[in-house]
Amino acid sequence: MKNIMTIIKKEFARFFGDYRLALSTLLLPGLMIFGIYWLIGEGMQNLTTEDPEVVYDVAVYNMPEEVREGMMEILALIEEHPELFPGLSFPNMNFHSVDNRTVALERLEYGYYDLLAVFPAEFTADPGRIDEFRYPNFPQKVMLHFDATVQDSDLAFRSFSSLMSAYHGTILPQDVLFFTDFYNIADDAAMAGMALSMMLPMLILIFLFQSCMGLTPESIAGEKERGTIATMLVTPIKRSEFAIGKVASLSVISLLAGISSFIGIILAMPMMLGDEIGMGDAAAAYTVMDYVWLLTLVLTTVILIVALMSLVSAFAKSVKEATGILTPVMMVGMVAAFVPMFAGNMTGIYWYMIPFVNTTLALTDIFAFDYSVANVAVVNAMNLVLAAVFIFVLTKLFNSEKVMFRK
Amino acid sequence: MSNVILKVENITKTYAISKKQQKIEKAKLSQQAGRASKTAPTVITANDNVSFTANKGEIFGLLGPNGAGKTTTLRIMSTLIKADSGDVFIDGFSVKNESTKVRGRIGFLTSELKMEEFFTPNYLFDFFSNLYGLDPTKQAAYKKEIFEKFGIDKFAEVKVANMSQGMKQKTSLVISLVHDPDVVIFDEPTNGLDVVTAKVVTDFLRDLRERGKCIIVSTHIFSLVEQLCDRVGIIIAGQMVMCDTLAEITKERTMEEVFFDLYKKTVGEVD
Repeated sequence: MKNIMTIIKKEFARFFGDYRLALSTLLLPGLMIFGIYWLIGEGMQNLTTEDPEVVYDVAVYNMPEEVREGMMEILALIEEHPELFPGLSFPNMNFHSVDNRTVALERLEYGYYDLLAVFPAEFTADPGRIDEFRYPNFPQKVMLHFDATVQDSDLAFRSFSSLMSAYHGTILPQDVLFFTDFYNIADDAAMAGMALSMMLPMLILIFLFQSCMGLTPESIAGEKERGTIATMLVTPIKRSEFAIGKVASLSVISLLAGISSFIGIILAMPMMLGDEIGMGDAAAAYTVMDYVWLLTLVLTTVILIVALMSLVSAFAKSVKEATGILTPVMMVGMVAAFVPMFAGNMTGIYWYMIPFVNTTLALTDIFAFDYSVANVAVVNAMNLVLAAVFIFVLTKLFNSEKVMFRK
Repeated sequence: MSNVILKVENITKTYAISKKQQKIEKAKLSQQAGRASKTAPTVITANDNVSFTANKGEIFGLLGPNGAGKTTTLRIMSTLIKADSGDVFIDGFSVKNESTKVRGRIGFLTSELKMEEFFTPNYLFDFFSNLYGLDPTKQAAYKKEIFEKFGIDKFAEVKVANMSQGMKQKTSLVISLVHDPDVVIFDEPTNGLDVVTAKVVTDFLRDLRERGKCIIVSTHIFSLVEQLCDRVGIIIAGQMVMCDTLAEITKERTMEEVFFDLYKKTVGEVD
């Protein structure tokens, strides 16, 4: 028993005596997990909550005036007496009466309208005529056209459907006078692109972090710990050459490891999501330039991650300490992987300057067929500039006897 | 024309000590003074104004007990660490300001510098030759010659991880001298070696001397100094307490007698 306590005390002294190790093991993971879950929660809410500032433009075809007035009355009632409609709220919607369905549909495609609601000719909401739409006849169908790959259009569709239901419920609580059906104008490739843009940036970043994490601490902190790094530092090689050589080689290997994982995910994705996602459509729809930009983003991000991890590894006394410090660093980086959840609100150029967030944003844009070359170039430039700064500091660390020979 | 190739000029090197150690030092001072000491030293002095020179074609021995500051001196000479003050000149180049040029002119061997265990002597020789920017054709011929000399040719493709201590030391020696440097700095050259390997190493050092190289060895082994060194610097408690030719230092006495006399004068009786 005494010996067991002796061993326990020694282990505790080793662990709690090393403040950095204790901090990175005990405090940071909890903080990171809280941060990640908070972000996920915020993100999910962002996806399903209408922005009160936004006004959705809804084109209406054949919509009778009394229906419009009835719906407006419901909106006004909800606004005046929200306590009567717990949990029910609607965004601001402008109804635009249109005469030409084809033109309205084209405008929907271009984003001029968020939704097109097509009512049947001579649509009636008169409850007295309910018998005309009872079996064997059909209830009237209101067709809603929207683009599921556009967040505003998707939210406008959901809001308008709910409003129609609320309206129908106030005039005819039981019988069905009319119902809404929908048509998603987004093609298969765009839909698949949207699905990819939601998942792949996150997966790519996670795999890149993982592959870098598996290599960098071992290559830098490991060499330091084993004393092999000093053997090279007594040769005439410049510290900057040494730092660049390390970062370049680790980047290539990490990239290969990341690509291997990525291919596995791509192959498994149809099995995960089912065939209807249209992966083939999306893959074929991307141009060569899309793939080139994608590759540059992945490459510059790997260089940035490796440079950052090399810096931490050079600072650490051992592989164990490097891994301990890098785990929360990696978690911070991975938080950025959840950025697509916020993508709708992150359009300013400054978002493309925040490390890792910018990579995920740019990847999301490319997968969703909605990117600007300028933004991607900004991300690549930011990644390389930051990596250069890290390499510069790494060079200084290789020159520092306190860092390199600290025990 | 001066034969001096290495000049160590007044180097001083201190290391910060931990808070806990500072308390111990403070307690020690209080005990010695017989009253509570208000201040505690915050640094420990590894080298205190150390100076010496070494010439081409000689083996210079740095003799001292563990913790005397020998390794610190060698590390400063080899550019791995920087002195707080003073400088070292190798072939006229300052370790402070021209460290890259210095590194190209020295070979540094110490047990702290390890070889990557995954690699073989063959690979490591080529790798370090490339780092020094040496001609591959010339290096191939040199590799053959020196591998044969040390018997490394018999285990040229064995990974370092699978080598004996002697094999590692031979490989380490050869690797650190791939560029045939003019100054060879060797920390505890025979430590951990069996008598056969130790003889191979000491013979090689003599060989280097014959070829006009300057060899600096640090050691705490008196017999090694007596067998090998032309000149000796004795370091005790960070200070160079004596530096002269072996003959001048020992005269009629043994190295051990001289050393303990100096130790007694500098530090006090051995506990």
